[in-house]
Amino acid sequence: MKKIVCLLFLIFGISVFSQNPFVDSEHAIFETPLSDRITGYKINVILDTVSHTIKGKESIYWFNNTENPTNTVYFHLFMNAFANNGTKIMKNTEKLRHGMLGIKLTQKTAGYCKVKRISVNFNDLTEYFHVDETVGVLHLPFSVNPGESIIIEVEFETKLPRIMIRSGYAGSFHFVGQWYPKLGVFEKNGKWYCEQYDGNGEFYSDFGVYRVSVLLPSFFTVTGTGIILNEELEGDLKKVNFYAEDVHDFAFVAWDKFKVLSKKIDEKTLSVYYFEEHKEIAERELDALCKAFKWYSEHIGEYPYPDYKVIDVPFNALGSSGMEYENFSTAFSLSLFPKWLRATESTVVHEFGHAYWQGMVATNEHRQAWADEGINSFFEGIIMDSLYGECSELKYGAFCQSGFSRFLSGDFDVLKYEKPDKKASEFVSRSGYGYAAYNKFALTLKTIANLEGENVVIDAAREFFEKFRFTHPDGAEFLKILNAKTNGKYEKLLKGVIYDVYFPDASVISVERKCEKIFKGYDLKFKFHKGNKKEKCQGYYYRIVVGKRELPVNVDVVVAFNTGRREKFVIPADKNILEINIPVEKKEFLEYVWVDNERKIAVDLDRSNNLYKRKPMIFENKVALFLFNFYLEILNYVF
Amino acid sequence: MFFRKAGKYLTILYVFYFAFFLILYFALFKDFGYANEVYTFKSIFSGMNTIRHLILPGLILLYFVEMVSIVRFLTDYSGKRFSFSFYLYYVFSSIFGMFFYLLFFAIVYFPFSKLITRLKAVSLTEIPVLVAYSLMFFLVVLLWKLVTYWKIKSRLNYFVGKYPSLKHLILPLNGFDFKSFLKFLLFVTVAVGLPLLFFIAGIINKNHFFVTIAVIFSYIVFPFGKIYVYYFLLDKKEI
Repeated sequence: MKKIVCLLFLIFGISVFSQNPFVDSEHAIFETPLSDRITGYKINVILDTVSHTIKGKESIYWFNNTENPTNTVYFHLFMNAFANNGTKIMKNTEKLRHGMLGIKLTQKTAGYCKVKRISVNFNDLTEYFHVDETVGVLHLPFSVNPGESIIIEVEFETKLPRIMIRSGYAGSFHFVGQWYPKLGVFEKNGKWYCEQYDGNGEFYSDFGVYRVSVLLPSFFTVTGTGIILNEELEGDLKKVNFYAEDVHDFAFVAWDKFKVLSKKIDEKTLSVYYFEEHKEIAERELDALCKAFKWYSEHIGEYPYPDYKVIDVPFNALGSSGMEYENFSTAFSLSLFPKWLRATESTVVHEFGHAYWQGMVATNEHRQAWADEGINSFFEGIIMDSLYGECSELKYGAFCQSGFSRFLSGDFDVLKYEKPDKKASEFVSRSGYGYAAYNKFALTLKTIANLEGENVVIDAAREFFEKFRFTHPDGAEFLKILNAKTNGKYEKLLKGVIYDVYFPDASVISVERKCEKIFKGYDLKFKFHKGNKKEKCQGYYYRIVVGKRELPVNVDVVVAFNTGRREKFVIPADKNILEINIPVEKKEFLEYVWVDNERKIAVDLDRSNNLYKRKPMIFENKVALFLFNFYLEILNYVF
Repeated sequence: MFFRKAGKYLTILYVFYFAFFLILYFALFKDFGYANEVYTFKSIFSGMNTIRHLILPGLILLYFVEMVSIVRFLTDYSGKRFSFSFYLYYVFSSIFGMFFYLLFFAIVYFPFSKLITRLKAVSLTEIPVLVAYSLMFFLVVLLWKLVTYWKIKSRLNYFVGKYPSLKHLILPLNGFDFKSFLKFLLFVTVAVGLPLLFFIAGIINKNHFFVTIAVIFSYIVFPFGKIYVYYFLLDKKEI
């Protein structure tokens, strides 16, 4: 058999296409390619909205642009992550599925991606295709050498799972993401990067073009990556033809209840796909999208694609909310969200940011999630605060949350053991992944922005975008640019925070009121002094010790007294501990010692030890007095 | 009449509450210490974290102090001879009460959990799910109060009734008077709900005054209510 294959291969030879064969020059979106377009997908499928299956064929073009040959091709088969309860994603989401969502794993709710037939350059190689959970490996009987390309034909069937996380169906709502057999990335080191799918760090693929035709019931509204060229009616069905250029993924959404709200800005169409009950929320989402779009265009660079869509998902599909895809994202909203709670707006801002960070600047999200999630979370905070003011996330009564409050709150202890720069699959917990990839780097950037000015970080990000859009840069490239802009001032901090388990913390270590005793004993002339029996102290002073660890930046300290006196100190970048002695009058008492009182050091991961004061937490203690009584009363009724 | 008979036992309860207040005060209020920098939902409960381990001992102590106060008050009030078996009955009625709490909770919870799962699967908005949760909460609270009402009635029947019998432990046998149940419901709801309202208003606005009122109210009304609710449901004609 192998001989026949090899013979056939020799007959047909390896196709070497000078350009991507799936480019549709008639409908070209960009005059000149924005990326290297080393992959191309032509997909023809039927979406059965009753059985929630997708059946069809795809042709994949892949060009080996490395200097290494390969005789294997790796594929992502993401939907196999939902095939049984033994996969990593199903284990990770067990509590969520059984608890909050209440979804049982049945034949109907499970999902899979089955490759029925696979051929390369017209040679059937199905028997050489092996599947390991969410990764498929095709062993070629020949090598694809540098500069050569191949066409892979795949016949596949995808069963969408009930939406638990990311993709699937919920009633007639179909969120079709990570759904087709998709190539991994053949890296310059001559190895394929194609990791198992566990729900974290989803994206890392080569840029290319996509021609996708979906046949589905005609009453469904469809949107997705790229542009819709046309919709052809075929009886009760319709064929929707998508076309996308210079993207690294393709996803689409289909629902029979969608309504659309759109606005044009600079020839780009911004839309929200929503349902009737979410009309007001959709208006808020469109407003946030327009604002984020303008902010990014002004500060970072042009959004080149013709449109961007926000999908407002229904409550029963909430598992798919708050996720980015190429040219669109899903929102997170509930119909009862009041205007003072801007979780909806911040999600739109965050997910739109991914159009830049990972969408265009396509860092490896699996290996370096911090490089897109961290930068993007920083910009989410900055944009929210600049668009909506001081309490941009929440303002109700005495509660006020800024764009960074969410990133500042959390039990960060896990960051003492988990460093951001590692594979998403290597994180022990989802919270560890979240804090390391999102919070830690976002807070580090916020610290630099607070100390050096926001524009320094924005400029660095713009330069990073301009240099590396439509490529797969290493996150270190961004650090290099940022270090150059700050003259290396934060190099140690950035290195420790990203590549090590730095746990920056500044704190008040101890505070003592001391008495300066009246001299007693022999002086230098050997005259003996008895001291004063009545007055033991000739003066008083406070001995304050403040410190910081793994935080090589200057940190301010403020000491305040009941007389209104305020003294300022600085713990220098190169010191870890500082002793402060402040003489005081007999009736002068300390009010507070506050390390980093302006909260500039956002990356200080333990804020519980920064403020030391007289009569602390009176309000919280009153609350505790009531709650204690209240709990006793309620529990007492049980007995 | 109530205060003449209950004064002694109210004093015991108030002394107990005051002792607890002092312990909590010294555990919580310090001259110097670390403080929260910003006011967040999480930070409000940081004081409670300090004393959370005192809840269980507090609850056990309170249970026994309350038991002694109530049993002694009722026997004093009705002029009955005190017997240690009353304490045993009190404890058993608590155990039977808990059984009924669980039973009623299960009766409400299981159908509702299925309904909620179904609604989660089909609802386009969260409103039907929230309505179902609210209804379930309302029913659980109502049935909880019903069991408490029955439990108090059972104790009253046994301690001061003309024909005390162990069968009163089976709570539903203690009869149900709709009017007195409504009064009981109102009493408990106001006694617990009013300080709770002040408390919620206080934490939303970080208002010291409202939270102080809630604390004072709870220290005055909660001990008083423990004995008064028995007096309130007592059929004075029976004595």
